[in-house]
Amino acid sequence: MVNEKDIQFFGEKCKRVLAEIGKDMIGQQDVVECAVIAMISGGNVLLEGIPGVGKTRLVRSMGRVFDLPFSRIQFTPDLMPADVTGTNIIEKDADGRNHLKFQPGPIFSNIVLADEINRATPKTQSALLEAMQEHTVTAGCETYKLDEPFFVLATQNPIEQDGTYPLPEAQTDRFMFKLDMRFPTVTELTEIVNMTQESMDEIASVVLSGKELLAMRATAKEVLVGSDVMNYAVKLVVATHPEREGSPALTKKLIRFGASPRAGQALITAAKVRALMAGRYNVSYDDINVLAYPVLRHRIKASFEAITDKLSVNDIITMLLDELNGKKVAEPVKTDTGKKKKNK
Amino acid sequence: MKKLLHPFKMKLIWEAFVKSWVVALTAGAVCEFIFLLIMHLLALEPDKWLIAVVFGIPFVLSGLLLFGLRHYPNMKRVVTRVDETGLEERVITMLEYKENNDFVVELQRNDALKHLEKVHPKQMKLTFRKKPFILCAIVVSLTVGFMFVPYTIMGSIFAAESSVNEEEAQMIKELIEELRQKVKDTEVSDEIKEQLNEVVDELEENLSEEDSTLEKTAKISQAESEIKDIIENAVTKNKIGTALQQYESTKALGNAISDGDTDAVSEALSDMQDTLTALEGQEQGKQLNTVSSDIASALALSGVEAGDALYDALHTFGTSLTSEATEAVNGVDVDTEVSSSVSQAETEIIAALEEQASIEATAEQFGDIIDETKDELLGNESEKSEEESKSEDEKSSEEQDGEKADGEKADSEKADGEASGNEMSGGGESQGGVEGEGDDSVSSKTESIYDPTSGSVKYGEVFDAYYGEYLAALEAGEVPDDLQAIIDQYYAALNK
Repeated sequence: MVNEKDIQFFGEKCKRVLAEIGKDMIGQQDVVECAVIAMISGGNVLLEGIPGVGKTRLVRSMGRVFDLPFSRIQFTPDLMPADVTGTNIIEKDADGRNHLKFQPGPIFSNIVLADEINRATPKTQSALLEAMQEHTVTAGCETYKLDEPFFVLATQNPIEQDGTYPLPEAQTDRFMFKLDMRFPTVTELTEIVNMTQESMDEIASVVLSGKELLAMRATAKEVLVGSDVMNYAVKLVVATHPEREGSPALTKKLIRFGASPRAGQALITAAKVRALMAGRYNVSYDDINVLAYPVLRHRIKASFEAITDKLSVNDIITMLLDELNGKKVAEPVKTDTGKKKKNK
Repeated sequence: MKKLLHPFKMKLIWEAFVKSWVVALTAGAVCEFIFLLIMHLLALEPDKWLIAVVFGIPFVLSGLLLFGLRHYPNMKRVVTRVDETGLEERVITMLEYKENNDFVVELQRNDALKHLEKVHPKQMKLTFRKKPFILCAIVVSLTVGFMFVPYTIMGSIFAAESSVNEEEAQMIKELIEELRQKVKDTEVSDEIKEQLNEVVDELEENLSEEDSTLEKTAKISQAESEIKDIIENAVTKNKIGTALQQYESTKALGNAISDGDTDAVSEALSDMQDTLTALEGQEQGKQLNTVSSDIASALALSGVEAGDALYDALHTFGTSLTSEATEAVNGVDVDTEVSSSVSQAETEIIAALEEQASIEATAEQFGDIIDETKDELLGNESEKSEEESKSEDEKSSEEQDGEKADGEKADSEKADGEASGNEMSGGGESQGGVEGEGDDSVSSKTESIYDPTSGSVKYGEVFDAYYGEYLAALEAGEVPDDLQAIIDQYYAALNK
């Protein structure tokens, strides 16, 4: 049962977490906030950005802040599934007899950084599927439970597409958010360069433990959602499906495949966390509108017409939100983070 | 919560009130406009109370319905609008969970109330769409303006047209009645009366309300022509008289019959009698034969058939002269019989001529009746075309004035040029000036509608002028009767 102390604890800890991560990360506030929301919500995050924007650093900072074991898996084309999950090895016991012993892989951690996930083969990528969804690993006949909280942060490079294996929809759907890490601004880059001249060390300190994180997760679940807001979130997810009869014309024109029901679950769960982080005890339309981008951008497939019109998925999400809010649909200015900006 | 929301609700009630009654005003004005339009078309001025009722009922009904059923702010609508002031759905969530007393719900409620207390009703903006107000203003303006338009204007347009048609219909009706009466009163044979009635019946059947005035006139002229033909066929004196004139012995009689002069007929017959009785024996018989033979030949030449009174009279006369000629050749004294035959012929011929004169007079009367109606019909039409041609004349004279001014200016410039060029010749300026004026006067008198470059004139431009000339000639009696029908049909066809 949530009490006032829990609510207070939640608010304080969130502020501290963001502040501490902010010591190691310059800029990227929205990405950091979304990553923390995903962590508290219990979801996984797919980070996309060009090399050097701080993807690994963010994950490592989060690992430090949450005082959770952190492991990194560098995905390469020759990486095998057993390299991820672990394997049975032959060991001699005290009697000198050989027996098989399971050697856990790097996935047996609380925070897993799956670096350049799209470089690994689909077989290896699928090794993550069970872990991400069910938080278990099956090796041989044994199923091993992963410690909670379990959190996968995968990264991918949007530039080098040669020799990569795009993540299948089944796997991308398991990520709660897809966050685009943009290139820093001039001011941010100046600050980064100055900071790293002094020290490259990560200085974020521990803010909360895994147990406390789980408690915060339970607290966030108690946040209220009005029926109108719930309907709005559901309507948004349903509106991404062109095969539905009542879907908007722009959906039929610009979207090939819509978002799965996990998108609805992710929206509401994350919106609750966001609301509580903002000091509110109810979810608002604004929470849904802001979180629509990280939740939907990897779950919607743009149609050929959208591609030829050079519309990104972020643009499509903006147009969809305008349509649902009864605003005149305008082609937005393309941005990296997906925040809405309208053409005047 | 209700206490906190009350001022917001009052504001939204006011908004609903304004929205509802603006639409209601539009509805009332639309109904009023339609009602007034109908009244104007019927040229009926409605009572003021009726105007008020036609406006008032839809206004009140729609206002109440819209306010009560559509726009009135219920609690949900109020809280939704309040949340839009930046409360981030706090109030509506609070309203939804008002029955719940969980800890987080209580926290949320307190948080929502705390934020609600900070919001002033002024922060909630009333939203009014522009379109209903603009539409209301337009419709109300039109309706109010329409109220001040006299009710007779639109009605008079239709009334004028219908009165013209009614007038013409009345004229036609009177014409048909007069013709029928005339046929009944005419002292002609039943056969001729039947033919005349057929013509009148056919005319009545052919004339339609949809026909234009010219078409009606053409049909009436056609009927007049047919009536004249019937009567001409009944009047045989001209044919017989002309035929008799071909023969020496009957020439004088033929002239008299052609002229219809009964005195001349008596004189001619008397001369004939004197000539015949002056002879005796063979010569008398020969002369009698000659006369009867000439009469027979003339009757055959005339083309008139037996049954005609004049024909029969002359035929009887010729037959009796033939029998008397036979007797005369046999040495019988036939002077008495000749005198008797001549006397009988005179009586019968004069009676026939008088009958035919009566028929001719009847033909004239038919013609007068028909012409009177045609004049009345054409009189209306010519007034219309005169008005049209007047307005066109005014337009063209304005254009001519413009041309004249340009022409004068050009010619005066020309004159100046000539004057400056020919300073030695004294009359240069004046000549130039006179020439210029003369040209202008010519151009101002005649409308130049002939385009020498194309060699054609648009017929629409000359129709009225030509038709006006025809009407003037008709009134002056310069149009032959037998051509009138053809000309009327011609103009009627062109005017379509």
